[in-house]
Order: sequence, then C-alpha cells, then structure tokens
Amino acid sequence: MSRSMQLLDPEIEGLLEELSRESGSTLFRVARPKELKGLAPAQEEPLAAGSRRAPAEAKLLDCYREEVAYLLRCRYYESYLAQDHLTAIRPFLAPREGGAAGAAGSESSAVQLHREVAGVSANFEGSTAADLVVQAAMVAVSSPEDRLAIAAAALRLVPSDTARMYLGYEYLAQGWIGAALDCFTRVSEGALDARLAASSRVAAGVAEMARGDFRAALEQFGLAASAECGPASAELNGLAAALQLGDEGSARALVQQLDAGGASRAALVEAWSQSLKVSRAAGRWSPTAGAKRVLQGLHLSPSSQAGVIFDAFSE
Amino acid sequence: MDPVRANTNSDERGALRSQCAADAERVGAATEQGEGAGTSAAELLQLSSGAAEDLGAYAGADILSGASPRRVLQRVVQGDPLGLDERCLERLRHHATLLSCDRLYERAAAWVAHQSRAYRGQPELGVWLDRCIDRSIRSLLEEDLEAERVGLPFRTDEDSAYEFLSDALGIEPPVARRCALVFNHLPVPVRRTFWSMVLQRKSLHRAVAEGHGPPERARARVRYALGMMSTLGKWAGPNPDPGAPSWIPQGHDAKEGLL
Repeated sequence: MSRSMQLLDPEIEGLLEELSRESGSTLFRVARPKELKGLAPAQEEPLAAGSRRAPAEAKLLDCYREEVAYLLRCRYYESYLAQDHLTAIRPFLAPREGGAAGAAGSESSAVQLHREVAGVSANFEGSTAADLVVQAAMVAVSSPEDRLAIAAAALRLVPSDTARMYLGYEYLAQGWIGAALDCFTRVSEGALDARLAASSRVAAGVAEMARGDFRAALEQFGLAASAECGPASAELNGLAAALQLGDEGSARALVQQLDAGGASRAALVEAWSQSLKVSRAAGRWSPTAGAKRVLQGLHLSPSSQAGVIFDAFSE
Repeated sequence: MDPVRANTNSDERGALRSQCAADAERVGAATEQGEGAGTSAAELLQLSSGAAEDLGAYAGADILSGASPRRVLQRVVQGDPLGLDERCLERLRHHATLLSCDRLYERAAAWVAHQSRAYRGQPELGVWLDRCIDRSIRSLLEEDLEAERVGLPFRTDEDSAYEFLSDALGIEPPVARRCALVFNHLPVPVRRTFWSMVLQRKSLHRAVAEGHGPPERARARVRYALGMMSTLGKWAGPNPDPGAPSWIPQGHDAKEGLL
C-alpha cells in the first residue's frame, strides 16, 4: 500500500500517517510512486501551425498586462484616497497598515506614479493596443465614473484580490453596499493570505456600518481582530460599532483591549479619532441614541486611550 | 533532490531552454522585420535625455540595453548569460516557495526583458534580477490563486512542484495546486523549515543546526505545514509562528503595500 512507503524521513512519514487518519484529510488518497524523481516530462503535443503564440511572446504579453493592471490599481487607489468626502466610508488605514496609503495624495506619491507610468509607456513599442491602455492609465481620474471604470478594468485585466478589494471600495463609495460586501466577502472567503483576509473583513465591517447594521459590523471587526495578523484598526472600528450598537458589554471589553495594548498605539488611536471627527463634521455619520447611552454609562480611567475616541462621539 | 526540478533532468532542461530560445529567436526575427523595428518616441526621449551615454556602462548592459524587450528576451534565454536559471532556483529556496523552477524561469525571463528598458544599472544587477524574479513568483502565485478561485483545472505536468506534492503526500493531482497554494501562503519560517526537512530531506538535527529553531519548534512547524496542506487550509492546530508574514515584500513589491 502506498502509505507504507518510506519516501521521506521516518519522522515525517509518521506525521503523514497520523494526519492522514483525520477526517477530511487529503493525504494518502492516491498511490505514491516508489521514488520521488525520474518523472517523465509531458510530451509536447504536435500543434497545428499558428495554433498558439510562441511561449516567449505570450509571457511578454503577460508582463505588459500585469504592468498595466498594476498601474490602473495605483491610479485608482491614489484617486480614491484623494477624495476627502469618502473619509466616512473609507476603511481606516493607519500609517503602519497603509504603507503607501499613508502618503496618499502627496506630491512624491504622484511623481512616483507618473514616473512609473512613463517607465511602462517606454516599455511598449509604438502603437500597440497595450500602448493605448497605458495612455488610458495616464488619463486623469476625476469623476466617480472614472474611478469605477478604472477599478473594474484593473480587475478584468488581471483578476486579483487586491483589485477585487479596490472595486469593493469603489462600490462602497458609490453607495452600492451589497456589491461592495460581495467583493469583500469573496476576498475574505478565498484569500489564503491571513492579512488580506483580515483587511477584507475590516472593509466588510465598514460596509455594514455604512448601511447601519452595527451588529454585523461588530462581528466582522471581531473576526478581523481575532486573526493572527489582524490590523489594529479592527479593534478601533469594533469599538465604534459597539458604541453605535449600544452594546455596553462589547464596548467595555474593547476599551480594556485597547488599553492593554499600551501606549504604542496612542498615535494610531489619535489619528483614527481625528478621522472620525472629520467625517462626522462632514455629516457622514452621527452618534446613535445607543452610543450616547453607552458613553454616559461607561466611566473611563483618566489614562484610557479610548478617551479620544469617545471625544469623537460626544463632541 | 530539488522538488522544483523534480520533473526534468539536465538534458530535458537543456531541451526546454533550447525551445525557449528558439521561440524567442523566432519572435526576435519577426520584431526586427516588423512591429517594433523602429525607434519609439519613448525610446527617443530616453536617448535624448542622456540614457545613451549609459549604454555599456553597467553590468548586464550588453544584454539588457539598446533593444526591444522582445530582442532582449531572445538574448536572456539564449544560453542564459544572466544566470537567471540558478537565480530562480535560489529565490525559490530563499522564499521556500513551491513552484516549478522552469515555469518561474519563463516568467522571470519575460519580466526581465520587459523591464530592461527602464534599467540603467541601479540597483546592482543581482538585486534587480532578484526583484524581477520575486515579482514573477508573486505573479504566478496570484495567477494560481485566481485559477483556483474559478475552478480552472490544470494539467498535472503544468508545474513539477505540484506533481511532487501529489507524489510525496499521496494527494489527488487535481488538489495539488490548491495544496501548494496553501503551503505558499504559510508563514515564512514554517515554509523554510518544511523546505529543509521535507523537500531537502535534512534530518531534524541538521535543520535545528541550520537555525530552524529548537527541535520542538521545528517539529511543530512541519506538523503545521502538513496539517494545513492535509486540510487545504482548514487546520485548527496552533500556528508556531503567529503573526509571521507569508511574504517579505521588497522593491517593486513593497510599493503596492496598500492593503
């Protein structure tokens, strides 16, 4: 029987044997070869003339397509972050989490992007269809329609979870919350990258907040926060959702978690609080009756970091 | 044994390279005669801005400069003067990523050619090549992930690493790509230990000596990797390296750290 073969170290074989007995295991489902090499490469099937492009050319075209998709994503995201009025529905990106997003809209970011677009343009050879796409990537992205078109084009060109997230952001910006949730759910359910999955849950939570389902939002933020690589903003958003829901117990627990994190998050909490204030001043949200009730009932210690967040709700 | 090369011996690899070079030759010849034969406006712009003086002034310039990406591709794969083949294998080892080296080579060669016009000697050639290869690895992983998402079938001979997994673990071939993807998204320390002990068949003692943690940690890593692959990512056992990234971004890759 295949499983009795010693292809690997005995200790590894023992582990395989043990794991294979567990329900649903994929191990030892088919016979193993006697040794792990010498497998013959597949024979190239004869091809009719012109039935395929040369592999080398095909790979180059893949590169062009990927580069253009990358630029479209950059174009989209830069424009997305530059829209102040989207603050209220934009998943909060702390500097540590956001990376390039932290410098969004800055001149250096724009110049860098322009250089990259120019660099890619230089890689295209004359009037090819791909060149036209690059030209499209250089067009100013000013309207919501432009942003939507670019986010959709990036996903169509090279499907990826990052592109899927961006399209979700845009759906959210357009107020199509169901469609946005669909994008975020596809990412969280399909992503193998734990960080990306957690980010998509935060985005889904923000979408739930936008449609007023604070309980669903709290659940999404909780899932994101419990992930091994969960973004810090998950807890902060969770606190906001708990407050809006009027869930004093959850709010209290999240305040304790926040304070247990120490002072290292002070800057993050402050930035997030500012973000809340800006979007509230813009009329994008207002505290619910439940939030006001919880704020009155919860007594924070003077040193609690949650104080600045509560300020955003009470001012 | 190198699982990423499990499918091909040196002769077969030579044949594959020759085929690749022949393809590029054909494309290159067509390019010389037709599309892209002239100098593009962008190229003129580069030349007028002084890039011409740089030609030949940096390592790899004889291969990478002064020609269309198609022509450069032809040069890159003809005898592999940049040593891309070995570099691909080294990067796969570095990241402990389960992908076929041949498949990566094809993608990386194209990416190097594609990026060649923007390269003027900075960063140093080796670093630049590694970035190109790393970008290609990410690209192939995303491609496979998307293929899995929509349920596209794959040929078992498509990627020797998948075939290796299927053989080594007794996994049904159609599940091997998913299994490899699960592995390739595990924390880097887990993958590196697994790579050392399972793929390179080093003893626990040696793996520990090479820095894969104390014995219990090394065992836990291998167990976690096998458990995750066995359940296609649904393993409930403890992650021995919680919070450790599955990829360490660098270069081009780092720019898109937007999420």
